[in-house]
Amino acid sequence: MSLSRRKFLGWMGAAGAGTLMNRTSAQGAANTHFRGYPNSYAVLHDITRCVGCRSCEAACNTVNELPVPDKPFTDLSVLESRRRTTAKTYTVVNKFPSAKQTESIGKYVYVKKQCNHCLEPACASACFVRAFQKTPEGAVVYDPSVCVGCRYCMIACPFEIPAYEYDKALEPRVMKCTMCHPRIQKGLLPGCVQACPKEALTFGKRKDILDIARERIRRHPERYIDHIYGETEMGGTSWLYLSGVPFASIGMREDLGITPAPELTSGALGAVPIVVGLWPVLLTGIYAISKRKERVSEEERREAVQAAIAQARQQAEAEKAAALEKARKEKETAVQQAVQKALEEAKKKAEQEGHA
Amino acid sequence: MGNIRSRILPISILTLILIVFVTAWFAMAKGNAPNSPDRIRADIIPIDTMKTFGKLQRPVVFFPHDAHTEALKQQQKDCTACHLPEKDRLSLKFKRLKDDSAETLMNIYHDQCISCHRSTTSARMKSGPVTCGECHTETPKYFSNRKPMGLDKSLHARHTKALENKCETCHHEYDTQAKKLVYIKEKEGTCRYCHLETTQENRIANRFASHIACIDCHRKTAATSKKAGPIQCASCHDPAAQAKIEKLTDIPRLNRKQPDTVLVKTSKEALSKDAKLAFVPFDHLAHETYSDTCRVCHHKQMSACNVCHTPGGAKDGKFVTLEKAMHLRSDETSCMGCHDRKKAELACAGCHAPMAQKKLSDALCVQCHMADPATMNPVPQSPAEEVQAAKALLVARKPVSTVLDDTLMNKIPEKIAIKTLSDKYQPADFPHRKIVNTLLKNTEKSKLAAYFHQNTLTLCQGCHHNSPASLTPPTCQSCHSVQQRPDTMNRPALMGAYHIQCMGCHQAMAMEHPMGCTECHKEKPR
Repeated sequence: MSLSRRKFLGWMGAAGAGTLMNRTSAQGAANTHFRGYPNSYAVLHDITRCVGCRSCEAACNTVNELPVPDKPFTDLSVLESRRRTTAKTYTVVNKFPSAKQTESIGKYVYVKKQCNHCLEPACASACFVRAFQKTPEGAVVYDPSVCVGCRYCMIACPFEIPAYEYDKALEPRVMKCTMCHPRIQKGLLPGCVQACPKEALTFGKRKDILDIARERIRRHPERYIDHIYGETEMGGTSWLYLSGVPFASIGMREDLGITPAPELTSGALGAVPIVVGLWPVLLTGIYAISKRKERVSEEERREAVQAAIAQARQQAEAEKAAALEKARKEKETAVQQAVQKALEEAKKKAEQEGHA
Repeated sequence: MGNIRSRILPISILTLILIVFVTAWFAMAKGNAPNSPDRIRADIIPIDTMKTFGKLQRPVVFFPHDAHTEALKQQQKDCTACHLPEKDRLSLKFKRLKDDSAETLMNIYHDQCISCHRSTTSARMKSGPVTCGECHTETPKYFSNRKPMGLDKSLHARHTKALENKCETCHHEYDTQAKKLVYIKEKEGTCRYCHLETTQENRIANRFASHIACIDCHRKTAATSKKAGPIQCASCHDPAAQAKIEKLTDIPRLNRKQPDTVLVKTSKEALSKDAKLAFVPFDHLAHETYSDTCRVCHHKQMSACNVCHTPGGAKDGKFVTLEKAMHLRSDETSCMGCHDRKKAELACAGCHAPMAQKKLSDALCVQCHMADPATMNPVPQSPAEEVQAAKALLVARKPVSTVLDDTLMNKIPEKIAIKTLSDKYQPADFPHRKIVNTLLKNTEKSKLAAYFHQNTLTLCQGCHHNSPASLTPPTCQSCHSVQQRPDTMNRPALMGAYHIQCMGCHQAMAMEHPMGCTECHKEKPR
């Protein structure tokens, strides 16, 4: 392949301009804010109603066919320590001392924790094999068949939800709440929602759920903090929370902002196609240039060798010719000498004969 | 080898010393923890007077006053060791009567404090610091739990008794013409009306007024070896000490010629016959007993609400309209705000906490606005007549009986078996009549409930909500579907409804009922 420097620079310029154009169109699209699938479902967790009975944990364990835990779900002593979701528990209830220490509200606040099913999930944006998918129903589901086990999703998740089957040697999976996606598709309630005796969990269309949450705040302004957690956090989630105490006091991050994770990483991740696209061109160019250099030097070498051979051959010819000449001359001299000798001998013989 | 052996002794001694130091350090650090009891005090006075003269060069000194009072007592000294006499009382300032300049102030504190600390040390007694950084600490050495103090009716009554009804001892008005303090009978108000947070032109701040007057009187009374009030900071300002102040059970009414009943009108001049909305008869006498102080309602001056809070709002009332002054639920000084707080009390919260804040309806308005000129006969013409009319209306307003008679009681079920979770548990026995009796007992003494529960069956509506009061209310299932459904999503399904209602009430009334499943639902025999 022959490639001139001019051609190579031309390609580079074209590629650069191409990426620039792509970028403008992407930013143009970002002006319309993505508000999630229009008919997606959501669950409202009314923290003021939760009594920490762990019925949701038990139901989750059953419907997802998870391994039986060491301590039964009726054992409420596990609430004494802060827990997180694991590969064997998709949801946990945590107990916090109430920031509102009034008699009638109760001394403790119980908060259920599980995947929040972000409208624009960070796990899905971090996954380079697209093992995570936001379904139109609202659930963020995981496909273990494509997962390579990099666990980027676990680092990406701002809520520290995905867990990994570290104890499995073969085909370990990332484990997290599925919002009971298969049940939703069958028209059933998620297991935890079905089981909650105090209806601290309400399942429905996200827009209806938001209305219900707002209505509860309006009817009981003294009971609730005027904020629906998850309405805008990380661009919005499909699990929404109402609380009577500040969310920060019950282990829920208030520093997440309203920008979805994919939007935050799009700058860095947007550079990937440029790098991936331009790298071969650049490398091919470098390869071509070095190849050309190699070829030129090869040619020069060959010429030099040929010249050297020719020179050597010439020299040898000349030497040969000289040697032949010399030999001829020597021969001639020898012949002359022999002739002369013969002549002299003949002369001598003749003289002798003459004498004789 | 002998060399090493000779070193073992000094090394072990050094290690021992190190261990002792580290342990001592930790012990000290523990003693310095911000929550250690000797660091939380009610007597902390920040010495920051100098900041009126410019920026402070050093951090503010936090001065533990009671510690000094105590130390001086041990040296047989009294308040005059630090406070100079001014007129016939002691100045609140330290070793001076006036604040001249930053430099003189600084010198007074440095010379007097340090010299006293030095002499106390040389007398081999417990003393205070003498170097700069020990007083001027970057991080405060003490934390204040000082709670503002005030006279409630009980404490006021104790003072009235001790001072033999000589109101003029404390109460005074400023006569602008005579330029002196005079006492006007039946014009008394709380100190705070004139003595505000900060010193005004001719009125010292409430803080100075109360300390000068209270402590001076307590000191002088103590000097005559009579029973006197405290002079230590903590005795008044420590929350625990405050809680221990003796409460009178029988408090005589504060008499300032206030009316027993009032017809609350839009203004003093408004005539009942012209009322657009019926005026409100108000039982002032009863309400006097509902709070600890007069200033809960009379927060700015001892006068009728409509003097400052005019229908359209006025500058004196900070433009809070009369309507808001009476109905603003977020403010406890308004009628409805205070009533809401009463409803949040344990006896009432069981029913009232789950209820949404109702929007005011016509039926609710007339519960208070009952002085309708159309139904009043005769329509009152003079203030005296209005008072009488208000009294007549209040007397006529019959409290709702909080007792269900036997015929009614027999009509309500004694027990109800709730079988909804019968797949997992035995039916739950719901002690219906017991609950009714508890609620009746809770509301028995509440005058608020007696007036506002519109009829005998209103109490039933605590649980049987959103339907008219009746002896045969609809069942829970009438509204609460067995399963969560999209069309009834704004109300809980049956299981949620039961648990929210029962457990919510138990929680709101802080009842000892545990929250486990099997307390109500007995396990099914296997």
